[in-house]
Amino acid sequence: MSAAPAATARRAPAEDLLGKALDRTLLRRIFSYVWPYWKQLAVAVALLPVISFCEIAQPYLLKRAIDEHIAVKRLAGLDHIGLLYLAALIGQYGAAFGQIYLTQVIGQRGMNDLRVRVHRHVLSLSAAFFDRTPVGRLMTRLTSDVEALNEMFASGIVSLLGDVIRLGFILVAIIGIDWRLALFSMGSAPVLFAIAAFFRRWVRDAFREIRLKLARMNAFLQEHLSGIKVVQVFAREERVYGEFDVINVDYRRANSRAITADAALYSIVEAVGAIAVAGLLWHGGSRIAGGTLTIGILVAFVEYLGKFFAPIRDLSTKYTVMQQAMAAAERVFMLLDTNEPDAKVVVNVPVAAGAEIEAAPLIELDHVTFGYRPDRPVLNDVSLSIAAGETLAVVGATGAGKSTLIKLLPRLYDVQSGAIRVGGADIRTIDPRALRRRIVVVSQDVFMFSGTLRSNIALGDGTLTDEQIWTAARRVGADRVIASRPGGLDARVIERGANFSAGERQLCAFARALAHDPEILILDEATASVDPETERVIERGIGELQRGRTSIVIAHRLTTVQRASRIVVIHHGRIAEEGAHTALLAQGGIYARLYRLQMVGHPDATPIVPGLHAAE
Amino acid sequence: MSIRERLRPELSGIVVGAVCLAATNALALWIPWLIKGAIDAIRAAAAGRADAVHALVVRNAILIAACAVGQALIRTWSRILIFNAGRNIEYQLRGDVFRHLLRQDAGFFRAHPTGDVMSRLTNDLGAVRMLFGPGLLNLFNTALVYLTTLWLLIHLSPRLTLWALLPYPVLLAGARLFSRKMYKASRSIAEQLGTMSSSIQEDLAGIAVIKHYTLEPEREAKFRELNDGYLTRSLALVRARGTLMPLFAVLGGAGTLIVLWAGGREVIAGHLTVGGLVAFNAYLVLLSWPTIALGWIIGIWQRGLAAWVRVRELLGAAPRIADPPDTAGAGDHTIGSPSIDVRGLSVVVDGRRLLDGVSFSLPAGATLAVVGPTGAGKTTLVDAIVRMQEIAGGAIVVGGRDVTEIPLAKLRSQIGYAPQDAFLFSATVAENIGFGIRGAAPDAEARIRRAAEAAGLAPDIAILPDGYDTLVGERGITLSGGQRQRVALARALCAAPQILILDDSLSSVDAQTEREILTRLKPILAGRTSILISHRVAAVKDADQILVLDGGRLAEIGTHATLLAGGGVYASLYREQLAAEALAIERVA
Repeated sequence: MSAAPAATARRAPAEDLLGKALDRTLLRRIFSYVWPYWKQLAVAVALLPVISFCEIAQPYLLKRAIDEHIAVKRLAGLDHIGLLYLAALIGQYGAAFGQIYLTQVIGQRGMNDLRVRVHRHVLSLSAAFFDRTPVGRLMTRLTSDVEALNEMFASGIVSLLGDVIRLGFILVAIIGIDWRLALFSMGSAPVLFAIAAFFRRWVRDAFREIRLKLARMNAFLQEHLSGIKVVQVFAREERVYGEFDVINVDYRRANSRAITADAALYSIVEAVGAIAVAGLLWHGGSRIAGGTLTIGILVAFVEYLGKFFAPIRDLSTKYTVMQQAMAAAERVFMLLDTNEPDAKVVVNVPVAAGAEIEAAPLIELDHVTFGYRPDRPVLNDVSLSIAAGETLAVVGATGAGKSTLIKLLPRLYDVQSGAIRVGGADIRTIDPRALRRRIVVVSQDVFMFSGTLRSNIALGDGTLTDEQIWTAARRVGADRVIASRPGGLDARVIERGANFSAGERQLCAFARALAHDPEILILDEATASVDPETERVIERGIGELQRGRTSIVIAHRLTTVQRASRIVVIHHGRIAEEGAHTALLAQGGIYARLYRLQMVGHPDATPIVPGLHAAE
Repeated sequence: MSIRERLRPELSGIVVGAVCLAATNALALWIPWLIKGAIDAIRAAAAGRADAVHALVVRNAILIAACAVGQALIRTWSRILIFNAGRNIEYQLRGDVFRHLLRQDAGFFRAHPTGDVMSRLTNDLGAVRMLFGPGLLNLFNTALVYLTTLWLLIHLSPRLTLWALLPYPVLLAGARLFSRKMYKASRSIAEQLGTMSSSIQEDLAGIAVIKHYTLEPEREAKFRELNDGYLTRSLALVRARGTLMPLFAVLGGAGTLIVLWAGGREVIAGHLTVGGLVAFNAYLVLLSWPTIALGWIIGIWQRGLAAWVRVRELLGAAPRIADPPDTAGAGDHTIGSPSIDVRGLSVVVDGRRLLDGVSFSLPAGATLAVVGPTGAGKTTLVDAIVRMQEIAGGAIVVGGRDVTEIPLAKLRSQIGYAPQDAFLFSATVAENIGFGIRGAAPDAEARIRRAAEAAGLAPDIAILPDGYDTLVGERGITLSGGQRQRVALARALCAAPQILILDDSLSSVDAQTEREILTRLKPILAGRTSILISHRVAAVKDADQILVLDGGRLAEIGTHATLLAGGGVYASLYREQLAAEALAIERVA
């Protein structure tokens, strides 16, 4: 056992096993988000030749202006050419504006769609996934990683296309002029490819590292901002800062590596370009001496080579940005590919026939075995039926499996063996949302969303009127909470309901439950944070609700449990005893022992109270 | 710290980087010269004298290659220097902000949702870094190219240069106009990103509630709405940026047109040669790239400045609860005998008076129980004592010193506090329990074990897969509510504090465990000043004093017996509880 944390050493293993996806596949998937906007894309691409044409026209017009007017001192017609030049200029940059604007709009819209898709997917993942994934890491995927993809679009996949087109034109031109020299000039091409391949690995790994470190940083921030009270109350600010610094330094170091790789790539490409020109001069020079080449062609080649390497340099910058985007895309798509759906409807499970459903108890657990880790079952071969309108109490030691039972009913987790039936139908065969709408769980941890009291009590039910909300609140004594705040139901609730006390949040949770009026009500030690008087009010309010409804109450305090029509004792994941309060007491088993312990403080004591008979 | 002050430590790196850039550009200008020389030589060679010329060509070719390599190295070096400077500034800034955040009070966190703070620390800081890194680099580069090119142009023809610069005032005006637009758009986008982050954070933190109440459609709709807002704002920036760059380019190109018109007349009038005009134009074309780049740089600067404002907001808020000014100063601040005196304490939050003139005196080593209805102010009271809550009036004196005169770390390290919300970190059980242990305590393991046993955790830990080394929290096993609460209790005990504050620490455990823990706590509490908040009679009845709060005011104070006899709030609060238990006892027999 170690008391000193090794925070840096630990990381979620899945994070490291990032799919080394092929660029092709990634590009195709990213493109699929852009494809719905193909019309704008088509226009943007169509604008490219317009831009190139206008661009080429300008030096040509300049040449004509100089050769045909200025050099021969003929002023007439110069203005005409000037206007044409202006037209070409405006044409070029007007088209460029259109192209850039359209590309960026497409990019933004594509990213928009991707973000919504990822968000929806995340909300559909199972409880088990959330159990092991820190919030901060998920946040990075949904925000920063998608943002990084945006940069790629901003730099312009389309303009990349434009660069490729330009390169194509130049290639055609030089091969046309002198194919042997062209071949020689293109001798630098394999070198460039080799460099690109080498750098691809280096740069991509560097960016992967960066995104990983960023996620870790976010996870740390999220956690420690949420738990800031604990950090401050134990005066551990300096130590937490120290842990953060390690991650911060790590992040900086990862970025340094990427900077070096990127800088090197850019400079090397530039250098190769200049060396290619040098080579050309040397080779061309000797060919001219040998008479197989003219100077004009050499000069033209030098110029074209210059023009060739400009887009290549541009491409190398874009290449780095692309790698960054790819690294981000890998993570985003890995999340999208996470196939851990929450409560998927299963078909190959025996479905009960109509008559069976009619006669069945409302809730039925049939030889259920379950464990969060398959090798450690928390519930072992549990069979239980609860009839409609029944109030069942579940007691047992901590860790015996009580709360687990509650998580299984709304199908937050699936059983490993056995079946759970609600209304006669196996819960795996019915729509999980329909199932969950029938059940309301009130537990001790109350989560409130930022918003208003109204939105938190109505929570998802848009049909509830203010009247109904107030009535529900009044029944459990939560009206006091609403009235105590200016604005009443419109009172602002901040993140996690931190501007309300724990007890107040509990009251709101009860009001919430009542307002939703569920068929099945589950209370998981829900009155632990409130004072006894409030507890009485709540129990009265809930008691009214429980009449005619099915409810399951998990309680540590046996005073709450007594009113249940039936009590179930869970011990080490199995049902040990079952029955009504007095019957169980008479049995003298675990329940009786628990009861005596709580009430009297000694398992075997028989307190003498005057005038007493077991008169029940 | 202002932007200038943040730059200072990195200044040497940036200056060297800038010098390297200048050198790179110089080399870049030399290469065309060498090419020209080689071509002229080849041209001359075509007219005879092949060998000597060949040597010249070879020499120039080698020089070009050497130049290229040199340029590559120096440029790489300059980029590394300047970009790393940017990253260093980002690192410092992030560290400073986080350190500052760690000392903020609850009021600050109420006003700043977690997701938004995270967005500022990552996305906004990233934009600031872009300003210092690529922003600076390209600014230097652009400035250098402008300067050198302008010099060359003036060298060729000062009059024509004046003509060529004609569009530039329009350019500058356009730059100012669009700068403001881009700044506003950038601010708007950054804010929306922060809001989106907060919403996502809530979705993830409250996923259990979302599933239980089938809130998926509602949350998705909310996210879509925020997302659309983000899109709208982004498009505003796209429009501004998209207009700016082509505008600059057209204005630059207009310069060429003007030169054509004016220069043509100059040539025709005989003031300039055709070759001169061609050369002038060639250099003017060199200006087009930096002009376009300027548009891009303006974008980065506005985005960076907008982000800087958001980051500065986090730094600017002075923590309202801070160390006393003379910490380094006088005397021993250790809390001698930890008695607690509260005098006329008042706490006001968001206009609501949570505590009103509460006074009591707790002698050293005594136990005070605080009870009262929901929302009475019990947690607020202990938060005030630990200085987690700002005080509106009155004073709290611990060990004879006003708490505002004790350094925070000193005060809090003497107090072991188990808050109501049992928050656990992503760490092992041992690390969570030992969170309060300061320094390298050799007996840490023993202390942790003892604390765990006292809190009744030993049997639970025994059945965990890795015992004390089991990972809990976000990335580990989910403990039950009762287990988490007991870990929080053990955490408070483990710190071996002189004052113990337990806020409702036994609400999630069953009666038997509660009894056991209370029994084990008795010797720990004996002789230790403690404050217990609970709703359970069993937990409070043995306290030396019981304080009853109601609506923020002190309603009653006394011992269990005297309060019951007094027949007031306490008596009625607990009468039910006692009666129920008495009834239960009857049934048992």
